[in-house]
Amino acid sequence: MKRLIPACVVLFLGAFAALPVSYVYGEEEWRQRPSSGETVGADDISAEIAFGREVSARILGRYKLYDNPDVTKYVNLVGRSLVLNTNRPELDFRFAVLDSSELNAYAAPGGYVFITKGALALVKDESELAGVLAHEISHITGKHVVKELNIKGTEDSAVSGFARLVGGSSESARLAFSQAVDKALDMLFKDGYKREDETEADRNAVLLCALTGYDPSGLGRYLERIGAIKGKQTEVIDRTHPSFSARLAWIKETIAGEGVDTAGLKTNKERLTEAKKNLK
Amino acid sequence: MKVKILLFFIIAAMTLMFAQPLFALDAYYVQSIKAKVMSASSFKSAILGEVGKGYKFESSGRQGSWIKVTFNAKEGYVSTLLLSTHPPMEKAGLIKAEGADINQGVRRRASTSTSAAAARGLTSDDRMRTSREEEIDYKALEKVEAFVVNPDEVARFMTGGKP
Repeated sequence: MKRLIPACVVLFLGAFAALPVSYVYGEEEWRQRPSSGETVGADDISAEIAFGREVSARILGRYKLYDNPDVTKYVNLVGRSLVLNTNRPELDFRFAVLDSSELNAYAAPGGYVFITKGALALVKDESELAGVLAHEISHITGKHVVKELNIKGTEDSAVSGFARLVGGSSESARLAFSQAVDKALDMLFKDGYKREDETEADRNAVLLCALTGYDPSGLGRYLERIGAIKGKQTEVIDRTHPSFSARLAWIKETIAGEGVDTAGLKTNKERLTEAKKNLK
Repeated sequence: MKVKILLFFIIAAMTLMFAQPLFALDAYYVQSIKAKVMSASSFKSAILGEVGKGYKFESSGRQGSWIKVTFNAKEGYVSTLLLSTHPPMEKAGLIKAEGADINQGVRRRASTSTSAAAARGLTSDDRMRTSREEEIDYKALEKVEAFVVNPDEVARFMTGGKP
C-alpha cells in the first residue's frame, strides 16, 4: 500500500502535465503565451501600426500621393472588400495611390497599402486590381516585415519587440527605431521580401480573391502583362520580387490545387473601366 | 483513510486521462465578417453553412490551407485566412513613435543627428543607415488616414454597386 500511494501521485501528476496548456491556463493566458507563436496584445498591434506609419510617411516622401478622391475611393472599396475576408479585423486598412508611372505596389505594417498610378493604369479589370491589393494585404496579415526585422521582445516575440522599440524614449531607442524603418524600406525598395514570403503572399492573394468572389487568376494576368515590360517602370519590382514565371507557376498551382472554379467568379471589367476614366 | 487517498488519486488520474482527448482540440475564432464551412478542403466542395465573426470552432487539425473543424456535429473545413487562435480584437489604438510628430504636417528630411554614444556598437552599414536622408511626408499620410469609406458603401460595392 505504501508503494501504491506515491505511484498514484506520479500517475496523477503525469496526467495533469500531459493536459494541453490551453486547458490548464485558459484561453486568455494561452494567447499571450510565447509558445503560441506570438503575442497579440493591443500594445503590440499599436506598435505595429506606429511603425507602419513611419514607413508609410517615407514611402509618401519618396513618391507623391496621387490626390484624386474618386480614384482613391474606388481603390479603397476594392481593398476594403478584400480586407473583410482577412484575419486582422483589429487593423484599419488604408489604400492610397502613388503618383508614379512605376509599376508596383507596397505594403507597410499596420494596414497601409499603396499602388502606383502606373500599375493602376495597367490593370484591365477589377479582379486584377484585387489580386495586386490582395498580395500586399497578405504581406501585412502575414507580418512579413515585422518577422523579417526579427526584433525580439522579452517574450521572444517580434511584435512585442516592436512595442518596446516604438515606446522607447531614449536616444538609442530612437536610433534603433529609425534603423528598423530604414531596413523595412530597404526590403520594399532594394532587397525585397524573402522568397517564401513572396510565395505566401501570392498564394494567399489567390485565396483571398476567391473568398471575396473575385476571379483569382486576375493577379496572374496582370503579372503576365507586367512581365513583358522592361525598363525603368519595372526596375523595382524586377529587383525585389521572384521571376514572373515562377510567380505565375505557383499562382496557377494554387488555383488548381485549391479547387477554385474561376468561371463563376467576377472580374468586374466595366466597373474598373468606369473608375479609370477618373485617372488623369 | 489510505484507501480513500488511493482511490482519490486513481479516480483523478483516470478522469484527467480520459478528458484529454476532449481538450486536445484547438480553438479557432472567425476573424472575417463571414466564413463558409466547406465539406472538404477545397473551394469545389459543398458548403455546409456560414458563420459570422467571432464564431468559435473546435479544430482537430490542419489540411493545407484549411482548418478541419467540427460544425453541426459534422466534419468541415474553413480557410486559414479567416481564422485565428484568439477571439477578434477591437480596432487598435496607436503608440506614438518618438520623433514622429504628426502635427508638424510638413514634408521634411529625417533627422540625421545621432550622438556618438548612440551610434556606438553599430556596424558600418548601420552607421550609414543613421546618416541616410529620406524624405518624410506626414501631411500626405494624414490625408491617407483621413480618407473615410463608409462600411455600408463597402457592403453595397461588394454586391455590385457603383462606387
